[in-house]
Amino acid sequence: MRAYEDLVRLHQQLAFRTAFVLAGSAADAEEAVQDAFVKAWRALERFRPGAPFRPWLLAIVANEARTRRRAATRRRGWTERAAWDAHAAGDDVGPSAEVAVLDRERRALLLDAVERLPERDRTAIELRYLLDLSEDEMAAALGCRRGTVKSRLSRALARLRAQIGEAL
Amino acid sequence: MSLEHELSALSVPWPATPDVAATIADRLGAAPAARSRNRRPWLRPALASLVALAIAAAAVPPVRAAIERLIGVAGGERIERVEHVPQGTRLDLGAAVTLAQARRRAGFAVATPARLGAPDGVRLGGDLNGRAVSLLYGRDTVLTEIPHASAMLAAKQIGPQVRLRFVDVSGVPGIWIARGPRALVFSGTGSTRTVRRSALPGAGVLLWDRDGIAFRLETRRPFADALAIARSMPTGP
Repeated sequence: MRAYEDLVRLHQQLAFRTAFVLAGSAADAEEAVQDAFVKAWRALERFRPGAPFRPWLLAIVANEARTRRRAATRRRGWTERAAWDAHAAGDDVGPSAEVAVLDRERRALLLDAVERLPERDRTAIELRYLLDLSEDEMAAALGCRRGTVKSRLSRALARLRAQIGEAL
Repeated sequence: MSLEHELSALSVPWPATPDVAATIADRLGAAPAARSRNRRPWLRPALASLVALAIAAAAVPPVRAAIERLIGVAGGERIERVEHVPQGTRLDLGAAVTLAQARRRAGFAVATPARLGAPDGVRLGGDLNGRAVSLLYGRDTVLTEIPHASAMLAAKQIGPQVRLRFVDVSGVPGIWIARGPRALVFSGTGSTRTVRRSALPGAGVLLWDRDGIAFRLETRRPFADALAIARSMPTGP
């Protein structure tokens, strides 16, 4: 049990953030991650020794998160969260005040553009770039093949480029 | 810098990650015995003491059955999953008093959740205990506080389909019981028992303990609201 507790602690941040991306709210993400770790514990006997643990866990987390996603709930966007979250305001401190302002503006533009993407594209971008998941891990979380992950990412990036281009 | 690199370098305001590890340990430790009998090297003290009592009782069949259906202990109640929830009369929360009167007569520092503020009404005594203080908020929420020293361990019996959540209430474990069939069973001397149903029909209940006080928050609000209310309780001395 102690070993499993350590394992949970090691992966809980990634699991929670993945669930947050997929479920859309922190409360639902917390529930999803709890249930996922309990299910993973009970399914440990079926885990193939030597196989990577993260994709296996993320598949369980993603499954729990998706079942909790409520269509009527609009997730608070990154830009809205950043404005609300005081700590985020102080993140970007550049070498000079002018650079800092430019960085902040660019960051706000990017976050806003990500937020305005269709949900499938937004999810792909967030899992790959904000959470740094590998394509294999994304495939496990999204329940699709690696090839599908590649094409989804490529399409999402193209849409994102188009949106940023329009904004400039 | 390419767009991919820019995205990878973005810092975003993630919500704070909850300490799931602690909650999971509690949850797995308090799982029904039938599922985890062979994988459970430790138990929370309250649960362990109950199991020890059962072993001391030489695992008489009815006692063994009670232990196997045991889910956990929180808020001065032991929670059991049962096939058939007994019928009872509605829980009596006691006489109407002011908050100041409740604090004086119950003899402990009754706390109020910051999220809700001052209660709309206060009750003292009733079925739960002479020192049980219930804070009423509108028609949908009741927060009851009972000093452990005077609380009698009642059994919260819940139906087979009722959903449970094992949560962290500002660092202590709690159990959320979603709405559904449930009853509170007080055992008297011999085989006598008293059965009470919820004071708020259609409500869920969050149970937890802190600093010698058992808390039970009954509410018709969603789980997330209940947890937020519980987490807004003062935790310091």
